[in-house]
This record gives sequence, C-alpha cells and structure tokens, in this order.
Amino acid sequence: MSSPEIYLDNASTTFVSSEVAQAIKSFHDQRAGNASSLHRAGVRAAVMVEEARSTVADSLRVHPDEIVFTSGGTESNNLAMLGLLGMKKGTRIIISAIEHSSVLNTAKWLEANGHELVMAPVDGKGFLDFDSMEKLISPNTELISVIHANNEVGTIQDLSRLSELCQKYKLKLHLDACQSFCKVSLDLQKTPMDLLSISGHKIHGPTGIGALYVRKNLELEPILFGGGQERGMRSGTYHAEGIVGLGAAIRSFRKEDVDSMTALRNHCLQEFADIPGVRVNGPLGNQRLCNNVSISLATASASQIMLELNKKNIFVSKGSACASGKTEPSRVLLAMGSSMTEAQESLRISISKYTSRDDIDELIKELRRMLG
Amino acid sequence: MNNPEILDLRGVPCPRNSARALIRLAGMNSGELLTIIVDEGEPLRNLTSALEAESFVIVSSFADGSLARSILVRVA
Repeated sequence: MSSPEIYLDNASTTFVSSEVAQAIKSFHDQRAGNASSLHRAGVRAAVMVEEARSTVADSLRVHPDEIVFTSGGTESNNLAMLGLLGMKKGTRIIISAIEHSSVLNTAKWLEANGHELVMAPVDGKGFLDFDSMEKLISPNTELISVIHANNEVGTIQDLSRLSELCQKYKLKLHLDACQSFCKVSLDLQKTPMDLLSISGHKIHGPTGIGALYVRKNLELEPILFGGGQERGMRSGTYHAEGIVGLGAAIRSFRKEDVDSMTALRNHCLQEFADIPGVRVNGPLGNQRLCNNVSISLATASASQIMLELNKKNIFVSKGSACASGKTEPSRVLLAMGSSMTEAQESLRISISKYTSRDDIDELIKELRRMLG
Repeated sequence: MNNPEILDLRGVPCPRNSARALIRLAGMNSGELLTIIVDEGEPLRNLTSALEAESFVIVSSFADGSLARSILVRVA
C-alpha cells in the first residue's frame, strides 16, 4: 500500500479548501447569470461579485472601488506595469533583483519598448538594499515594483520603508503580494501604495482568479479590450465563480493558520540546521514568510532528491515552480550572492494551513536518510 | 425616529449599483429605511426594477435638483 501524499509545494499552488468549494457550489446552485447582465439572474451574480470585492478590499483596508478582478497574479502584475507605462516612453523602472518572472519579463518588455530598467540589489538574505535603491532613483523614474515576500526564499521586504521612499520621491509603488497575501498583514492605510497584486490559488482559492488594487484616481490603460468591465481597466466576462471562491478563501484564512504554519516552518528550519550538507536560504524569524523553507544541498543533486521524495509521495519543488523544468540555477539565489552550486541545487518546501507536524517529520526523516 | 441611512450610488455602473443596494439592504432589519441616491435614467430604472424584484418597498422618490434622484426604500 502506498503512503499518503504529503503536499509541500503550496507556494506553487494550494488545494481548494472545502469552504471555497462550498462557496463555489452555492454560487452554481443559485443559477446565477452574467454579473454584467441587468436581469435578476445577473444581479444575483453581481451581488456575489460585489460581496467578494468588499472582502478583498477589507483585507487590504481599501475601498471596494479600488479592486480590479483579474485572472491571477501574472495578469495583475502585467496590468499594473503595462497599464501604467505601456503607453509612455522614456521612464525608468526600478525592480528588485529577485522579482517573479511575471514582473521581470514585463519590465524587460517595457525596456525593449522605450523605457529604462534598473534592478535594485539585495543582500545575502534577500533584503532590499535601500541605500542602493535610492541611488538608482533618477528624475525620470516613475515606478518601483517589488515582490513583498519572495516566492523562492520567503524574504519579506520592509514595506514601510518602501512606501516612505516612494512617497519621498513621488514614485508609483507596485507591490507583488501574491505570496504574502493573507499570510502577512497588509494595511494600505498605514503603508500607502499605488498598485498591489494578489492571487487566489495561493490561499486555497481557485486558479484563474486574482485581483489588482489600483489606488483611487490612478487610471491604467487596459491590456485587454472588450466590454469595459472593471471601470474599463479589465474587460471580459466576470469569472464570478472564481471571484466568489477568492472571497471565501480570504474569509476562511485565519490568524491561527499563520501561527500553525509559522510553528511548522520553524520546526523544519531547526531540524535542517542539523543535517550535514544542508544550507538554509533566506532569513529566519518573522521576516520570513510563514510557510516557506528554502534549502541548498552541498553534496546531493536537488533534482535527484526531489524525485526520490516524489517516489515517497512527498512533493516539494526545485527552486521556484515557474523555473521548474529548466536546468538554469536560481537567479534569485544568484542575486543573493549564492554560489552556482547553491543556486543550482536548491529545494523549496512550502507549507499550508493543512500541513501537519507528522508531514514535516516524515519529510525530515526521509531527507536525513537520503542525505545521510 | 432616526434619519434613514444613505447609500450614494452615483457614478456606480449597472448592475453593480443594484448589487450594492441589495447587499446593504440585506444587512438591515425589517421596517428599516434606506435612502439611495442614484443617477437618473437607466441606472434609476434598473435599480428600481432590481429592488422591486426582491420585494423591497419604494416609499418615495424625489429629484434632488441634479442629475440624480433619491429613493427611500423600506425593508419588508
């Protein structure tokens, strides 16, 4: 009999929770129409969409009118950057050296189309070097885009400092909060910014749904054209069941979930410190995402270990999920000053609110055996 | 008697205006009143239709001198 599956790749995606599945079923049971239609079935859908919009807005402490629903984090990041700068030329964009591909490649596209792209360095733990970043600001700088909690190593950036820096130089700030949303408290009243991306499937919501916070009075050029939904910024029929699912995912994410993930992460990090040939990447403590563990292996192939764990029904990822399948070393770890080997041989273990202590102990036992 | 709560839906597109009105009304008790300010024309017609479809009672409706209209709705 095969052992039960232990899923530890929650930074890639999470399973849809029973609360979310129930909310989506309830949506379908109500036979809702198109949320843009004016008849009763349409209004029924619109009510559920607006309830979810308020849930998203409340979680960020912003106004519902400032929330634009998208198909996910990648689209949110694209809309934020292309919507702001796509029709302009000659601005400088500053991003961190450890951005997700959806920000990096959008920034590169902008660079190829008349903008200037510069990258702010990070230190060995993945924290932004704010002094260097400030020196990169030029008179034509318009946008700073930063990943709040890094998807590979879990480093959480100092949001207050970032927000203050952007206010000081009157720059637009875009935060990619896809990994941190619901896991790190976000209060945009306290730390104002212009744009913020979130994703549903990182928090036990469905795939194919995300949102972009767009500060009031900030107009973005659309990157999708059609019926003019979402104040003209994001056309397309509302993915109402996804939106409902996103709202349910946010409502069912509790502080106790963050506490339990933090405890398991700390347990995992403590155990890894004792395993020869294992190096923990990124910071320790509360400046690390509660569900992230990243390690580099000095004496073993990360690909091989990942496959061996897979045979034991333990699922982790090598580097970031978006880079999986490629043989390149992690550019995030390289930017943090890791060696080529450390960047090549990295594993990411990402916990969810459903992960148990037994799951982590089984992983540790197997890793000790494989690396022993 | 307390003054009715006010929900300003001017500039909110259809059917989002109706959705927001219904959400607010769903959180109110039977007999309570809500004043809704809505743009004249199509938005007013759509909102009125959506409220009546859900059995809310429109007590009164009056122009406020601009391009909007205030309607007083009672929770059944």
